Amino acid sequence: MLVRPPSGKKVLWQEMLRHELLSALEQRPVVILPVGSVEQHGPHCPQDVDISIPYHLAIRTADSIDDFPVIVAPPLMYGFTRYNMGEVGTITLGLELFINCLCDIARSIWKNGFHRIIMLNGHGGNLAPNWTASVKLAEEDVWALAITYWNMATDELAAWSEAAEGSIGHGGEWETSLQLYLRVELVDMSLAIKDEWRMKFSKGVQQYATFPERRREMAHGVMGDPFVASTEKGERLFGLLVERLTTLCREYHDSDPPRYMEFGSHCP
Amino acid sequence: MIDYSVFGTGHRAHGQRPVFWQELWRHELEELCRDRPVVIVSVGSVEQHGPHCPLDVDIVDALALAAATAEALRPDPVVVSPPIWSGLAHYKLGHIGTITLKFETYVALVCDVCRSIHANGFERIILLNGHGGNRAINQAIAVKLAEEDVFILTITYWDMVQELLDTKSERDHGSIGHAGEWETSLQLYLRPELVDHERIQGDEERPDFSPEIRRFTGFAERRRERAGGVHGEPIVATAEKGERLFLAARDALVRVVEEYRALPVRHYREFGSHCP
Repeated sequence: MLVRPPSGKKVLWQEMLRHELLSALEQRPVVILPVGSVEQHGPHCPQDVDISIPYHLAIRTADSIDDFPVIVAPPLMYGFTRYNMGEVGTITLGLELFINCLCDIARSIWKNGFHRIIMLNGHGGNLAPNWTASVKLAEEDVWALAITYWNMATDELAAWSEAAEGSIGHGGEWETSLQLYLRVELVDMSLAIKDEWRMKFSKGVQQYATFPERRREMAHGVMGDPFVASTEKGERLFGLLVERLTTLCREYHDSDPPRYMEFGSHCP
Repeated sequence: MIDYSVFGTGHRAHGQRPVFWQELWRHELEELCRDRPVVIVSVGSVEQHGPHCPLDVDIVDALALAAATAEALRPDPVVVSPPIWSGLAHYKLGHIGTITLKFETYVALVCDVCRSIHANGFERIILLNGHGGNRAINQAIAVKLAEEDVFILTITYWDMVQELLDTKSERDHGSIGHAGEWETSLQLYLRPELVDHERIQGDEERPDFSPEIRRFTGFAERRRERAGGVHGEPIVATAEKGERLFLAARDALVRVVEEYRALPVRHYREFGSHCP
């Protein structure tokens, strides 16, 4: 899954030459690290939905900003997702290893001199570890913003959902729409299926307490309704997400990263 | 008022079964174990809480809620485990008093405590958290333990009273803060003798991303992110507010426990699995 901008602009960290990286360093660059998962996504979607979306978002954002460099780091394809092994196709890392992978990659980028890092996540199970990694790195004075992409559009997801009630789901309305928009050739809608939610707490309790997922929490591995997915929905959501991510890159570029002890500290 | 100290609550003196795991006799634990018990594990932190609050605000809030919930549900089998008082709080070392764990240590500690409780035959466990820095990692811990067929519910207590925080705050709208309006109110309700009114002060926020960006991301906290170590306005704290918040959270937790006991115990592979 190698993606390049349609414009041909060079944005991939791994393809850049030494002098190009050194020149980028002079221009307050932003580096986006796409973070995702390779896991089952229902019968109709490919395994790499959760990394493909942040990867495409990063590429498109990098392509659209011309006045300073936005570089896309090699994506971290593997995430924290053992519970998706109920269906064939899932590859997972353990919790501690996943957090350490994030920290090592972000730390390396930082030590290269790139001090505006975004860890852009596309998998629900990575959300908490991603934030934990950013807190752990802060203590070393390495700063990386942890973002899970659908949190950039919470209100719009709620307003635009036909069936998903604002949830990104799993192979459902929104993920399928994004795949139809980004990679229609990898979706087989003739295999799409809608799953029912199993036993849950009452609505009130669910707002603050939910169980972790089991193997085959959904009978066919789908959360949400792929039958209301469309290319147009995918395009609309993707466009909004690129807009938000672009705004963030610009503010990041214009500001200096924090320093952990800039206000002093009792303990060293 | 219940004594929320960790050891020696003396409830045995009143002729009642204690709510604390560490004070129960063997035959009591064996009886409790047979009746769909819920064990509440409180997690928090010992860390600086401004000049006016003690260091154990975050663990005492959670522990007190756990104990009050167990008391409210008597004679139902609700047990409060020994508290895990240490959390992820390196960024609080800016002021004196903070004791913190590395994330690996914290994950291993919480997992081992929950595994032990589960191995004893107590299959319904609530991890009740009182410290913001533990919140995300607790979610990940719940997912990690589920892989071992140990299912826990993880709750950060102020999530249970978000509506009250949104609608009843005078100054700290929607936020539990840090030694601000609400945490100080809880202390004034639970342990007024440990709050020093004379030293109460507010702190200014420092500049950050625009409000549009702050809705979905932000930096981790720095040492002395607030000059005095306070997030919010403790000046408007009262014992009455503390009581209101505490009882609302307790009632919500009572509801969780009741629903939890009514549900069958979850099993990780109850619907099958392609991979073993």
